[in-house]
Amino acid sequence: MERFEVYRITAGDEAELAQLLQSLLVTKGMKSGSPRYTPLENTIRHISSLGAKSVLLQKDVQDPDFLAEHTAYYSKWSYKVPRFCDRLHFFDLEADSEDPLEFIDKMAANQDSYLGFVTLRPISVSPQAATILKPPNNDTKHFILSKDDFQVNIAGQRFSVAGTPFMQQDNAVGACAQASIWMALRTLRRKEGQSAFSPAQITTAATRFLVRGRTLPNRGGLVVEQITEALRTAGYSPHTIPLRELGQDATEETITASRQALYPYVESGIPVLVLLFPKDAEGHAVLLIGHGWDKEPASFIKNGDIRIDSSENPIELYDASSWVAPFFIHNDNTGPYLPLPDNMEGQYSLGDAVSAIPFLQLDIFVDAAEAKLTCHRLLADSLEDLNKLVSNGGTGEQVKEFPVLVTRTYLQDKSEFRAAILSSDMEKDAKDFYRSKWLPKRIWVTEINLLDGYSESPEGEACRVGEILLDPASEPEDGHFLSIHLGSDLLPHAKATTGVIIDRNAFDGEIRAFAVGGSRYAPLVR
Amino acid sequence: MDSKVLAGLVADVLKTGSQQTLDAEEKSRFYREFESDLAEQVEQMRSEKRRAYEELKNIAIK
Repeated sequence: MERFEVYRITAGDEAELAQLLQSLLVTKGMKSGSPRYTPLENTIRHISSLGAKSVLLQKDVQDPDFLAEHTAYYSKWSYKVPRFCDRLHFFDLEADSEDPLEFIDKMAANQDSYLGFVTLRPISVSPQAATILKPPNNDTKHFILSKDDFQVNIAGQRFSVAGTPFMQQDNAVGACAQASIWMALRTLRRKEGQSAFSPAQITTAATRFLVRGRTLPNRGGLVVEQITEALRTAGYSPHTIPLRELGQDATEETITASRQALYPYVESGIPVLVLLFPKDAEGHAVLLIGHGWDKEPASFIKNGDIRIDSSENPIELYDASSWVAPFFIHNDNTGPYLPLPDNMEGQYSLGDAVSAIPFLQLDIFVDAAEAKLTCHRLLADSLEDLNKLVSNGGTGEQVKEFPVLVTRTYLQDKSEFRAAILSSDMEKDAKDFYRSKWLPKRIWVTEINLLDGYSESPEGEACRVGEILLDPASEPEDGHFLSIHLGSDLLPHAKATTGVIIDRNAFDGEIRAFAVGGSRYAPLVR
Repeated sequence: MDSKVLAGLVADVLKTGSQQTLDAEEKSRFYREFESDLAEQVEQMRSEKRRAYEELKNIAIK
């Protein structure tokens, strides 16, 4: 029997691809229950939209996650459940040879053609195991930010796919929570250097101290406390964010507040486990991995205001999440890279969200809501009554009109922050400051952008006029900011080219301020 | 009422054009006022999270 087989398919023909997968689905193994093919159907739709033109079938794959599931559960069966999986690799180039090795070599010479893979377990009711596929095309509408590059070795050739791992729960070793936790841990493994547990290990970690019945088969799912325990064991902070009262109807306010609360983590590339409780249905977990872009939101979400003089009219701040719709999720029982609508009857939606658990690193003591609160306070404190303070001494400059602002908060690695600054249009003296300043490994960044043009952010047309950096290894009320950069747009009395940096020494708390170039530059686009 | 320490610092840079450093007294005032402004709000947020978690922790997710 050949280990590899090559198939040609017509680009965009979902039915042809579905037929191929149906013919490959293994019918042996666990036969109880109804087959759950929805995730696979949506996966086929996604692969088809990526323009797949050829498929390589790899047989008898020793998938480490299924082997762990097998060892923990299926190996105990009297019925012989196979240990090995099939794996399908997809390419957007046509196959001009049916010889598998010739095909693999040709595709390896065209690395961009690789779209990723789907692993099929020998379990007929829930066949879709480890899957990594490229995110949807069209970068200006889809920002899948919780992802990584994964190396795939096939017959001596190495391929790479950037995506977010996905799998369907097997409904025996793990339920939706285990599947979602697995997806998050796989995504973060290389970046964070933490463990990537198999579903079986996640179940073991979750039920080590908190048992609420049989652990295998695990058809009853996990309770929230078991989920947080599994995260803690995997090396992440068991930090839960309340989004809506259980039993309370979703309203426009709860949906807006949920979007505001979740967006900083999504923008940081941190996967978020979202716990959904639809009306009259059981709780379900999905993994939040990205967002779309609504260029013309119906309304802007307010982020408070600041006063630069004693007039009755404060300067309004809007939240960057106003433009974020919809969120994108991996839903183990419906499929990968799916939109999570705000509120839709009969479909999982953001309005169903009651709580969320971001995979936050253990050294982050300030969460996103606290970072936003702290940075907005720092911004207000830096500008409050500035008109009066400056006009007392006078700078001789004509007072400019203060702009309406949009703030956007995210957690960023210092190396990524510095690289983004270096490639930006920021003035050289401000760049030099950031390049040489001591920074912790990760920092909370609150960007300050002009409202004018912000809807064009994905095209790089928006204007950033400052940012606040906050030390996440601190307490919010301690005021442990790292720096506050205010461009000339934020300083009505300053020359058009003058900005100010307030620099706080992270070690001794000394605070100094000095003038820098104050020009505009673009917000981060990932 | 005294102005905010950070706004005063920014104003001094704009007026003089030169680097300004907070002296010990101003620095101490900044940290003291900042804590006073934020501590209660932060504790309220954390308290709400603890309450919500207690309500939810025994609910099953399938």
